[in-house]
Amino acid sequence: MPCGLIILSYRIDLDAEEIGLKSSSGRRWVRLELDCYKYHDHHDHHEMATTIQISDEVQKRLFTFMNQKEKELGHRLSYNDAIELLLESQIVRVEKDEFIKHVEKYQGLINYKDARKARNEERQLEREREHALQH
Amino acid sequence: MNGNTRSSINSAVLDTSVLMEVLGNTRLGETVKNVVLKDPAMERFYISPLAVTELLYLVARTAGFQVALQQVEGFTKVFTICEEKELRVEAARMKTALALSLADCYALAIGSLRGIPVYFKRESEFDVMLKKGPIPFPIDLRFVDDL
Repeated sequence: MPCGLIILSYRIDLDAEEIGLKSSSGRRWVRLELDCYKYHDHHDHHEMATTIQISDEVQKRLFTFMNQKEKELGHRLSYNDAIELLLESQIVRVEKDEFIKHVEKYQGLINYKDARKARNEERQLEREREHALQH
Repeated sequence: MNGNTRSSINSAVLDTSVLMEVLGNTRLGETVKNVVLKDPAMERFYISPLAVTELLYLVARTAGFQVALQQVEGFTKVFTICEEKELRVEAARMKTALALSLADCYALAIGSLRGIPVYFKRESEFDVMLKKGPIPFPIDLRFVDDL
């Protein structure tokens, strides 16, 4: 690992409604921009807590979100917990009708017999490789 | 809270074998769609990054890689694709103990870490393994053949 400071920039688009914000511009999405710094030297990869920089406005929003979530959950949250909850909320939630329509659009994408044969061949090769490694 | 956040929302993992049935428009794929995918209680479907890889090469063999990339990326955008780095240790633990493919172990790892059911098509590896006894991990393993 080369030594030095690594700067990582993240952009996370959050659903304003999901985090309880009323967007003044009427836009649905709120962008959270984070700059993270990680330090490495020749000997160690320091797994210290990462420092992030956020604007005052985002900090206020995050604080509001934390207060709301603390009330809902009935216990204190750290900033780490709050960000983790926000990231978790980004996981695709299925709108059932749209989801099914989407899936149906792709039904028939593969030739099942050919795909099955190809996959079985791959798996057989994988088993043979493992068998060879074990003996 | 920790990295292994267990989902409070009803969700399930779909293995490549199940996605193939759906994409191949088979009778079993239709059952999966009607029973699992349409289940109103199911709000999220997870797939492993290895399932995406498998779908890509399977489609690419007949359609070419660029078409496969476009089609598979399109299809999978309504699923939650787990990060490989979140799964690698658990998948390795599964692979150490079970005579299953690495791709199967990644699907099982999602189920194990999130505490949600994992759907597979019943294949010969599973029959051989389950004849020896139950899986030595607390995993809700389900076969679409039994739907």
